[in-house]
Order: sequence, then structure tokens, then C-alpha cells
Amino acid sequence: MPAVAAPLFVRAARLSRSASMAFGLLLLACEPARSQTLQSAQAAHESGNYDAAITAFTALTASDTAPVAARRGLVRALTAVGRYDAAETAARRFVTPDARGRELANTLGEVLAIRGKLPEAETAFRRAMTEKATDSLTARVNLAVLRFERGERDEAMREFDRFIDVYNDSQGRLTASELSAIGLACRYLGLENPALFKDALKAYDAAIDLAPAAIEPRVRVAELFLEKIQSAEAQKELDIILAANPRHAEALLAAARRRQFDGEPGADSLVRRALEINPNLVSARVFYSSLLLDSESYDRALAESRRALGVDSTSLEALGMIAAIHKLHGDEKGFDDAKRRALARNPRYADLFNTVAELSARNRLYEQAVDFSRQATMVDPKSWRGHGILGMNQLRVGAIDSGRVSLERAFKGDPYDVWVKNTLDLMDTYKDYTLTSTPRFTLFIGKKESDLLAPYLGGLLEEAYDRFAATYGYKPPTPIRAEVYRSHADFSVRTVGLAGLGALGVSFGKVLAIDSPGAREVGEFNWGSTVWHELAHTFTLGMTNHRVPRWLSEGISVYEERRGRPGWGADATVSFLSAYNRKMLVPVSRMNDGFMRPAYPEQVIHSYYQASLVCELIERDFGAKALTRMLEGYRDGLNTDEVFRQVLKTDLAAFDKRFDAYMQERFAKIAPTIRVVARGEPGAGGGPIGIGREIELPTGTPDANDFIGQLRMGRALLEKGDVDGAVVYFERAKTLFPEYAGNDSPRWYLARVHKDRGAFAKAADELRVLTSANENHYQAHLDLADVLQALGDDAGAAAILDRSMYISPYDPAMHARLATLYAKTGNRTGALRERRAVVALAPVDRAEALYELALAHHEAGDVTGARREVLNALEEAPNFEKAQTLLLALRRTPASPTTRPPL
Amino acid sequence: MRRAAGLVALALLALGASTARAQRTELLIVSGLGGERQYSDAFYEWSATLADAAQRRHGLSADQIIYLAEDPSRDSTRIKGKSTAVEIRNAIRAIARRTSAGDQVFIVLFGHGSSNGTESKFSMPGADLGTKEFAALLDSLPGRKVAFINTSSASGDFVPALSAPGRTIVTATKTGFERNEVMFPRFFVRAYAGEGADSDKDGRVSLLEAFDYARTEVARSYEEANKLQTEHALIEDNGDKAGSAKPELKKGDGATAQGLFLAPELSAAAAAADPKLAGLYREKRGIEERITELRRAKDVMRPADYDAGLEKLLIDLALKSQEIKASGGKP
Repeated sequence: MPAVAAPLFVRAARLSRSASMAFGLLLLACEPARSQTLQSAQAAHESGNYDAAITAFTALTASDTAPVAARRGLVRALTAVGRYDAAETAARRFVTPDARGRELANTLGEVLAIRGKLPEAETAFRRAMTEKATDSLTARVNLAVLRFERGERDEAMREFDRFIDVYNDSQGRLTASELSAIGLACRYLGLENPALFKDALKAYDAAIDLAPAAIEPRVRVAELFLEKIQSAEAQKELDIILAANPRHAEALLAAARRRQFDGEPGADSLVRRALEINPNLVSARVFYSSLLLDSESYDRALAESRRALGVDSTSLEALGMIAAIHKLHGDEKGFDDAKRRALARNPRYADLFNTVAELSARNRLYEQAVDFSRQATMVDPKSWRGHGILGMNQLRVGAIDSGRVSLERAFKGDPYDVWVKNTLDLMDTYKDYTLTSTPRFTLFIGKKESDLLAPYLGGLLEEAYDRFAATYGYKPPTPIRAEVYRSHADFSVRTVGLAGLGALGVSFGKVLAIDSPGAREVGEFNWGSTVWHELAHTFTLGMTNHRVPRWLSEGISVYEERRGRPGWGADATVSFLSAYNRKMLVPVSRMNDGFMRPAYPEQVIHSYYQASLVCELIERDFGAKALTRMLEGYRDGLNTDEVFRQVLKTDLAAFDKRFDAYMQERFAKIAPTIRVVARGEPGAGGGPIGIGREIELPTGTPDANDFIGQLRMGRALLEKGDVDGAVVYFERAKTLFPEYAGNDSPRWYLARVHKDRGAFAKAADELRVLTSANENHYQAHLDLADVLQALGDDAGAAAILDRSMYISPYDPAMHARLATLYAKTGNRTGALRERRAVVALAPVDRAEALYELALAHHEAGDVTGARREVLNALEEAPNFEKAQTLLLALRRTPASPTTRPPL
Repeated sequence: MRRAAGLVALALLALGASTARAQRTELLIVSGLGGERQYSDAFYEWSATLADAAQRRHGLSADQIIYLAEDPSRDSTRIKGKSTAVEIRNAIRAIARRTSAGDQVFIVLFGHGSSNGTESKFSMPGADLGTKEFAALLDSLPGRKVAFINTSSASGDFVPALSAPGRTIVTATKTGFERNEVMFPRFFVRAYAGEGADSDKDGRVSLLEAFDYARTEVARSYEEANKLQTEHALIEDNGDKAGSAKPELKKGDGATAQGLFLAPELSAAAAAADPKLAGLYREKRGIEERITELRRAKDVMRPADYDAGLEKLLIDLALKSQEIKASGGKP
């Protein structure tokens, strides 16, 4: 690195002046050339041209008088590409017993440490220290790290602490390498004194100031930011590093981690790139293993971690990952073996348990995550990460109070953990929430909207519970806790500890959390179908002891949504069919990749629908109980391959073909009518998400078989006022893609035309089909209610208004209208719920709302309730004449829940 | 005891005297400069709707309403003149002549407002009128119960500038810095023209009820649209120059506005003509006062005692109302 190299060159020049004239002349002739070669070798290394760097360094180190910088450069270049054997051989050659040899001792120690040759590494570090090599400070920190990792924590911490004095006494004379060593020491010290993390950053920043082109300190800064869950800051550093050296394996690994952390696609390709450059980079191998584990590819994940262990047989992170893989795969012996080996090296290695806990949580095994993170805190009570994981997972299993205690402990130890801080901040707002109960659920909703939402939510959950219990023959333990967040950011923090999660709901099994209907714009989502979906997860998770693969759990949840109410659940979209036409959908045998390692941004959304089609096909071809039997297979420990073979009597390859045929059968007519759609074009609105930008505006008459062209022409004509002309194109578009139910569906435009013309029956037909596939189109629901009422179908109007409440329940007028419809159609319970909703919305005319509620009680024969509410109304407005009349009528009737007094 | 009885008699005498002369109410509506068609239309619609509602729903006669607008030719039936500074001064002079102490004067402004940080103004044809000019105009209405409602944007500074005993000031915003287009006037007009604002169900909409209705609906609109609320209406009626966003009767603002109505009190008018009804109204008022006292004591009572006491009083009140109705009165 320049900061190290520059003083060495100065020393060489001084030496040359004290030598004989002849030797001096020789040096004068040779030194500039060597210097230039050294600089170019270093430049090649720093830009990632490792082969050129190795060649240049090799040439430079051929002579016995080779500069130390060249020798170190060769070892590090070989290390950067994973040629550890060659690096070790070279380092050993340079570590001669003489004074020059001491300068390579630390470098040798680093290579040996990477290989897991720890006693030899320690010897090398000690030599660099005792003989006061120029990098003795780095050797000292390396030795402290070795001691820390073998469990000599207190001794190591004392050693790290001495680096503070080194820094304070340095009076600004430290090199960039030395500052980096101090940064590393502070990073470890930060485990016990979190304020030291800032000092670590300060030291790294000082190193970067001294050597702006140096990459290593920037990599450490990026890692530190990632460690502290500040991915945006990490990415800033990584951008700088990868611009200078796009082949820096550790930076690529950090970038992969960052992507995975932020839920962005591409983590796997980045880590694979890192491994192409350095196939022996243990951390990258272990990280890749974790990604494979996310996709439930146990065998490949294990192979990757074992390969890492082949490089460094003592690697704690590899042993931790192997332990996790075995645990998640149910191999207790394998788990115990890996655990024993890790703890033999470091009895206080809490991260073994933290790794298992985190991966358990990522695989939805939240109780197991609680168990393991608790073990982490027992092995090392100062494992703040362990306390944090414990707290987060206690919250996920519904242990709210103990979760808070754990998080408080974690925060006290490490206030820089953003997950923990965000979650505690969120919990501080819990005083503004209220708990209500139904027979099997505890509802946790903001006080302001609890009275409004709880009746709907409770009713829906109870209904769904009965439905799923009957379907799957399983009843999850109760009570199940359902949390509703008015702010999406709060929901996101509750779910993953950070704002920005794209999901609408989550199921941890015993605990569900969803966005409140007010957390998003009206029409963005259906909160009823969301909670239905999440409760289905609770069943599939519970039934399989949380072993169900993600794709099947999601597929069943979407499938159940569709069975829950007309219109609920994903349907075929233009975007989905475009992807299908382009063969971008994953085969069923790799369905989990569609969720866990999406190849394009919309693939996760597509995978939800696709997985639900797989479930449909399974039920169609293998019977109504096939899904239940599959879940039982997972419960019994079978993997997906075994489940298909043993339960469905087919293999995955054959099923892939069967599914292809099913897709062809289902979409053969429609798919060819779908041309690629660009964002913002028809088809991109509402449910569908357009992909690609290839499409151009059609000129002239659109192709009669081009759905989008027909739809677009219809809209253009409608905007121009040519209604009759527009109808022709809308009808054609509808024929081409009858299932299309985006917000810009031809049916929507046709319905509006029919409604305007007073053709209510035709309008109702279009809207009925549209709303039976589009769960979010609020106005379509209201319009359908209008036309049904106009046609005298009060029950139908009530049913559709009831569904509209799961899009937006905040309009008091809609509740009043639905209450009236329910009253007319004899649904007294429904009328009561709606009148309660009006009161819950805190209308200005509260007295009127309470009076109407009293009337609803009265109509339902509930004299006690009617009296209570009419008194509430009169408390607000004592002279409210209608309420007075009702009160006097009720006074004449004894309180009885079944007697309805005359008015 | 005797002395107390004598005091009651005097009080009733005073009540009879006050009801003998009907309180007059005047309404001045000023529609300011629209600037763009959409705003001119909106200001006209709100003004016309309020003028109509004042007559049809609240019993004011045409001669109790003065409506000034930027374009009088748009509606010569309703609009009495151009909304210039001169015409506004003339209108207030006329109102001053027609009214006396104790009468009610409602002044409602629809339009754009502006503020330069030191003074706020209401935008109208010709020179704008600001807080100082309006303060001077209101000073020409001594002893009247003045309700000054400025529904324009950036109107908040009118509260401290016009606040005085006997006046109720309503503004659509809390400061001169809330300059975005406001929703408040739409809902304020709806409070008088539609259903839902009469929260105590006494058949009339008080200014406090209208304010509460409008501010609540404004907040709901912003919440439904998932937008940050950029307007916060104020009401000030105790002369302390500090407006309230959510008036509480027990402390601060609201008490005066609670007694300001466009519509006259029908019971008082009926009672003036029938001694029997007058007695029934007195009894009814007594029950109402006991209900008010009970409600004040709610926080310190056992819930069961409160509920029982309230139910009895509410039944008494309902029966009394029936009795009044049977006697030809309006409960």
C-alpha cells in the first residue's frame, strides 16, 4: 500500500547514498526501473489485475535484495485469488532468519491464519512483534484476534485496549496500515463498549485520508456499516471500492451481503463472482451456503460449507453454518459434531448459536430461533447480537414482554443495532394500541381504529380458522395474535426491524401482522384477503412444524385467498403472461428460487400466482386431500423431492412437464394475445406490472388479436368521445383476454358506458365479473352496489358493499348505506356491525350515529343494547327528539334480549 | 329562602324581558377574487349555498343577508354588490344601523388569503383588506355579538388581530404560513346547508357545531387521502387572542360560539305568547340544567349512579318535551 511503501523507498534511497560509489551508480541506474515496476505491480493489484500483479511481483522478488513491499505484494496477490498454497510457500521463502525475514513474518502469519494453521500463525505474529518489524502493530492485532477467536476473550480485550494508547500517543505518526490495525482493535472493543465502534470508523477514516487509494480500510468500513445494519452507508463505500477494483472478492462479498440484507435480487450472482475470483474465500463460501439454505437446497449448502472447511478446518463461521444446515435438516448428529468442533476451538463462540438462530428464523422456525439465541446469550452473556435475535424472535412467537426485556438488554450493550433500536421505538408506541379478543384470536390494533376494525378482523379470522381447520384437519394452538399497523413503516419494523419492507402482511405462526387498511392508498391492497392469506400460513406452518417450503406455503395461501371470497387472491395479469410467453417463470422443481432468488424484479409477484396454480393443479389431478397429505409429508421430515414421489407418486421432473401442459392448456388462447407491455401503458395499471419497454404505440388499426392494442384503441376513442367506437374495441379486448381484471380492464370501461346509458343489468354483468377477479377496485365495487340496488337486488348490493369494506372501511356513509341494506334484507347482525362502525368512525353527528345503533339493537331484539345506546345518544344530545321517542318506547318494555318493543 | 325566591322571580322577569324583543341576526357574505375560473366558481358556489341555506334552513329573510362578490352580474338575485373595500365598508355601516347591542352579526369571507409575515390580507377586487382594516370595521359594531369567519388560506393571523370580547373569530388556518388551498370552507358551508352538524340535536346549528363539523371533516379528508394536513382551523371567542384548534368548553374557547345561531330560538318565541308553555319551558330548562350538572360531575361519580341519574333525567326531559309538544309548543 502506498502509505507503507513510501517510507521504505525513502530508506532505500538513504542506504544507497551510504554505499560505495560503484554500487551506488548501479543502484541509481536500476532503482527507478524497479520502483516503476513495483508501483505498476501494486497498481495492478489494487485494480484487480491480479495475474499481472503476481507476474510483476514474482519478477521483482526473484533477487535476494527484493524490496519488502514486493515480497508482501506477491503474498497478498496470491492470497487475493485464493492461491493460498503458493502464498504460504512464498511467504515461508521470504521469512528468513535474518533481519529482513522479520518484515514478512506477519504476512506469513496472515496466510497461515487463513488456512487455519493457528499455532504457526501465532508464532509468526509473535516474531514480527518481538523483532519490531515495521508491521508489528498489525501483527499485534492479528494475534489478539487469534486469542479472541479461541475464547481468550478477556486477554484479547486487554490487548485490543492497548491500541487506544497507541493511537493517543502516536501524535499523528501512524501509517495507514497501523490505523487500520487500530480500527480493527476498536471494532472488537466495540463489542463491550459500543462507543468504540465510532472510534473504529474514525481510525479507518484516518487511514483512508492517509492513503485515499487504499482499498482495505474501505472494505473494513463497509463491513462495519453492514454489521451495524446501515446498508446505505455500506453501499457508498462499496461503490468506491468496486469502481477502483471490480474484482475485489471481499468487496463483492460485502456487496452481496448488502443486497441480501436489503432484499434486492443479485446477492447470489455477486457472491458467485467473488468465488470465481477467490474460490477459497471462506466467508464467501459460507455466505453462498446460507443462500442455498434459503432455497432449501440442503445438500448444496452443506457441500459449500464443507468446501470452506476444507480451506480452513478451524473456521468458526463454516462450522456454525454446517451446524445450522444439519439442524435445519433434522440431522442432530451432524449438528452436535459441528457444534462440538466449534466450541472446542472457542468455548465462548456465541455466534455458533446466533447463526443457527438466524437461519432458523429465516426458515420460519421462530421457536427454534428463540432457543438457540438464548443459548448464545448463555455461552456469552455479552453477545448483544444474541440478545437482539432472542428479543426479535420472542416478539415473533408472541412473547411480547420478554421480547422487550431481551431487546432492552441488547440495546444497552449495542445501541447501534438499528433493528433493535427501531423495534424498541416501535414498542414505545404500543401504549397507543389496544387488545381485544375473539374466541381464538387476540387483536392488537391502534386505539383510534380498533373499534372500527376489530369486528371485521375478528369475524374474518374466526371464519378463516374454521374453514382451514376443516380443509386441513388441523387446528393451530390458540390464541393467535393479530397485529394491525396504521403505518406501513411500523409494520415493516415489526416484521424485519427496518422500514421499507414491500410486503403487506406476515405470519410468524402464532403471530400475524398486517398493514392497516389506512396504511396505504385506497385500492393498493385488500386487507381482508391479506389477513386470510397470513392465517393460511399459520396453518401450513403449524401443521408441518414450520417445515413447509416457502413456495408451497405461499401457493396454498394464495389459493385459499381465491377460495375465501370472489375476487380475492392473485389472478393472471398481463405481466405474468408476458413472463410466461418469454419463458421467464421458474419450473416447479425450482419454485423456491422464484421467491428466494428472483431472477427479475417481478418474479416474486409472479411466483405467488404461479405457486397457487401449482396448488390448483395438484388438487385437480391428485384429489382434494393431496395438499393436506403433502403438508403431512413435510411434517414427517420429507423433502420436496420425497414429498412428490411418496405423496403424489411422481417425480419433480415429471411434474414440471405436467405443469407446463397445464399452463399451456389454461393460457393457450390468451397468452398469444399478450404483447410485451411497458410501464404506464394499458395493462400496467392496477394489478399487472408491465415488463420491458419494447412496445411502441400502434399506428392505424390495431391487430385484431393484440389485447393491449385493442384496449388502447378503445380508451383513445372513449377519450375522444366516440363511445360506440370504443365499445367495439373493448368488446374485442374482452374476448381476447376475458380473465383480465386490472383496473383498466375493458370490462370497467364497458360497465361505465352501460351505467351511463342506464343499462344497469349489462353494467352489473361486467362489474360482477371484474370484481370477481379484482379485489382492490374500490370504485368498481361501489358502482356494482349502485347498479344492483337500482335493479332491486338489495342482498347483492349488500354483499358487494361488504366486500368493499376490505378495500377501505373508512367512509361512514358506506357503512350507513350497508347498515340500511342489511336492515332491509333482514341481516340484523350485519346491520349492528355497520352501525357500530359508523360510531367507531367518530362522526361529527355522533348522537345520530348512536341513535341508529340503538335502533339496530332494537331491530335485533336487544332491548338492553338499544337502551344503552339511546342513552349514549341522549347524553350527547339531550333534546334529540327521535332518541327521546325511542327511549320512552324502550321504557315500556322490560329488558330482554329477545323481545323487540313496539315503537 | 324568601330572598332566594325573590331572586328567581327577578331572573325570570329578566328572561321574559329579553325574550320579548327578538334578537336580530345579520349575515354578510363576501366572495373574494378568484383569479382562476375554478376558484371563482368555488367561491360563488359556497357563497350562494350559504346564502340559500341561511334563508331556507335557518329562517333568515333576504333583507338580513348581504352577499358581495367579485362579479355581481353572475347572480343579480343573490349578489347585492361588488366585493370591494368600499362596498364592504358600506355593508357593515348598513348592518350597524340595522342592529343594536346584543344582536348577532355574521361576516363570512370566501376567497384567497395572503400573508407577508407581518400582516395578512384577504384578496378582493381592488385594494385588499387586511387585518387592520377589518379590525377597524368590527370596531364599528360595538355591543353586537360578532362572528367573523375567514375561510381563506393564510387566514390564521386574523385571530390575534381581531380577537376581542364579544367576538368570535374563525379562521381556516392556524397561521399566515398555511398558504395551500383549503378545504375548510366547503365543509363549513356544508355544516349549515346539509345534515350532520347539529350534534346536540336541538334543531339548530351553532357556530361551534359548524366549526367542529368543518374541522373534523377536513381532518378526515386529509386522512382518507393519506396526505399531510396543511390547514388547521382555529376558533377564538374568549378575547384572549389565542385560537383553539379543538375547543373545549370547560376551558378556553367555545362557550360564546356555542350560543351563536343563524336560526332564531323558536321555543322562546312560542313561550312569549303562551304562559302555560312558558312554564313548561322553564321546567324543561331546569331538567336540562340538572343534566348539565350531572355530566359535569361524571368523572367523580360511580358509573352506576351516574347512569341511573342520567337515565331518570333523560326520561323526565323526554316526557317534558312530549308535554310541550302536546301543548302546541316545539320541543
